[in-house]
Amino acid sequence: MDVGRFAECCRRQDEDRNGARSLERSRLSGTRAMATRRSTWRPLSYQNPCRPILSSPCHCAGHLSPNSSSGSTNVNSTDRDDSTRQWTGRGPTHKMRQPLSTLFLFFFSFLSLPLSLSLTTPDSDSQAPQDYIHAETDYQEQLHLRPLPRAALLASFSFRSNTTFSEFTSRNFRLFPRSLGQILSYANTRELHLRFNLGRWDAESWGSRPWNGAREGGTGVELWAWLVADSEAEAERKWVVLTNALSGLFCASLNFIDSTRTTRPVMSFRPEGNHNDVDPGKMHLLHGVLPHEVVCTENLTPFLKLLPCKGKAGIASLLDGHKLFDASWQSMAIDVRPICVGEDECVLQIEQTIDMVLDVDRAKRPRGKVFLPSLSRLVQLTYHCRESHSPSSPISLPPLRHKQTIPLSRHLLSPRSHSQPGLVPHPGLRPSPERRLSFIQSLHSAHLSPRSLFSQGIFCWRSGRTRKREGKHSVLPSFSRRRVQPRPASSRVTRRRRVGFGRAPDSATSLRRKKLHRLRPRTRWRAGTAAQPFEGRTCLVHLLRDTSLVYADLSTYVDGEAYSK
Amino acid sequence: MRIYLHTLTARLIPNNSTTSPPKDIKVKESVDLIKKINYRPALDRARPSHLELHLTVPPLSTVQLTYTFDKTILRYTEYPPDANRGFDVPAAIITVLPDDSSDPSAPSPDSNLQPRYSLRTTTLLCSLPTPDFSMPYNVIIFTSTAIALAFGGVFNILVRRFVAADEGPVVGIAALKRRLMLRIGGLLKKLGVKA
Repeated sequence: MDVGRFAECCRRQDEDRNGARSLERSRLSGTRAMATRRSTWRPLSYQNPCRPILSSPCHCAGHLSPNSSSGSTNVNSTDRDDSTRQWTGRGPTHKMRQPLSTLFLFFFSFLSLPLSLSLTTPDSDSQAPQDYIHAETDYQEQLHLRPLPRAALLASFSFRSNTTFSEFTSRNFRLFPRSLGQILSYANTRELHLRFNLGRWDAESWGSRPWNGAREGGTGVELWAWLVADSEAEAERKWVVLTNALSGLFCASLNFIDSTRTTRPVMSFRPEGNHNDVDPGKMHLLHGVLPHEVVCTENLTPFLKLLPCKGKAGIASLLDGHKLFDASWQSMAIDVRPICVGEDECVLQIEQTIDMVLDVDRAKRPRGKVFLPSLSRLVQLTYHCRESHSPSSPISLPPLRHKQTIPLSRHLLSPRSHSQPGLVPHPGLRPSPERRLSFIQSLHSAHLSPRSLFSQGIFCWRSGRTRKREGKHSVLPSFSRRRVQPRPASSRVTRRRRVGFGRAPDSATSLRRKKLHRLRPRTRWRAGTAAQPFEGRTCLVHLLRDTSLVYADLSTYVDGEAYSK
Repeated sequence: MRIYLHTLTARLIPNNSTTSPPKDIKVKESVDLIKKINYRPALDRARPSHLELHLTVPPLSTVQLTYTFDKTILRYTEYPPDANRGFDVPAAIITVLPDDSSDPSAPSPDSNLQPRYSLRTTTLLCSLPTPDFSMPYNVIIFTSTAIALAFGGVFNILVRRFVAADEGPVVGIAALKRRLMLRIGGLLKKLGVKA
């Protein structure tokens, strides 16, 4: 949802600041706020990508399970409202600090409000993944976790960004990766599908494939594309250009897809996008496979670099090559397709998907320390128990009845849960008895026993940060609290020491920090400490057990403000 | 791989008869199963074989597709470094079409005819006849050894200088005494001339 906005801001920040410093900082929280405030310093003619954050509803609120048969939930309205509320609620903070910026900020908000509303209204009811289209540039990312039998876990990452055709043709790349866009325009490619696959999907024990098999390829590398060319010979030439360019971009041996490996399927593939504006006789489908290609981390790095934040923020920061390529089965997919919402405006959509099946037992094995190190930076679990069915969806979610926020790690990573599959005790954590009791009570209210929940291996994660304190890992509950009021410099130093470093500085250091903080602008301080980028990120995990459904929600706030409705 | 398309057969095996003896298996003719075939034969070093079939598979049944094929023999420079590993045949792509798509190859502007489900088979590893790439190595080693042995011997014989055992000066007390006497004689002769 507005992680995408944040990502956009992050990218813009990156371009603005022209360096890795901002990216490094953007991993932490205050970047969005910082970007927002920076945007207000610009002249009014500058089209700021951060502007829609302030007013537009989020687009990716709807949840789509990779396996469509497993049901889906919709929390669109709540998410949308909350994200809006969240940002409007932040206004007074800025107001106190910089009245001028706030003025601009509100100006932008009101300016963009009708526009975004009008654009997002038509498709708000749509359910299919292709239908989350807006005739504007946007970005969204999703992570779905699905437990599979035998302690396996399917993690589906999906990153989708749109750009309008007019911006694409005028080479105004904002969220769409420029490197790929230039290749596409140079090779006259209308639609592109690129797959990197490893392993074998064990359909007998894992069931149906994620995305109904639409986002995976054969072992190795698979590429197919629709090119616009007048003749077959020209299409071949464009194809060679395309494969060579992609080979350089993705560090794969795609340039070995020559004519001896290129086929022209007739029946097997269909374009996913809208190609009504092109003569069908000029569309050439070419398909090439490299089954011997070994997919490895050198392919993941350019894959992540296509993202607006280049894997530095958002759920892409969870993608670790060591874990991804340790998976039992993994698939990386890139799909570029033109999609027309109405008759007037078409968007070019790039969707990057990573699906992987993690073997939890194997992930547990090294030293027994951390469960899924890349996914282990999880702090909070908010789960909602629902007891009746709603008419809207087949699996049906009734209105919220019970809501509680629970520090995930204190329960799931407790020593008692060591015997449960998919769980590893966190060495430094001891759950308090009353918290565990409350958690179990809330599970009972959902007609679920903790054991059944745990045995399904279903969790939802909130990305946070753990720190070392006294040689133990501990979770920072204060990490996701929002600080609204500006604090004096001395308290800032204290907080920073407590949150960031965990080591009491000597007096000279603290004095130096005080001076530094006086000199530094406020935004840099916020960027360094708070956990704001994780606000607004919503991850849904489903647990289907008979007919009762519990979904764990990666909530945005510890205090449940996001669902206070 | 070169496919002999005339050998392509499709056999339908109902799933419920898998436990029964094989003679009960009903084999349906491939004519009923295969609706359409799109085949593009391979040209050596120009294009691969490409076979697409439009099948109708009844529920709860297994379809076996069999065809015979030839393995081509490559030039020795066309083999990969690990030629004995075999050659990867790309995965077959199985696409489950929606019900209302009678002819999948027909260009339809309607984009709703997306495939319902698609899956890839595993990659097939096909071992082609591979020449013995170690033979040149063995030959080189063997001939090099033979040449080294022969050349070393001949060169040694040609270059070495042979000296007879009695060509040198005689060494002994008598010879020393004779040389000494010669020197003394010479001295005496000088002295005698002078005197």
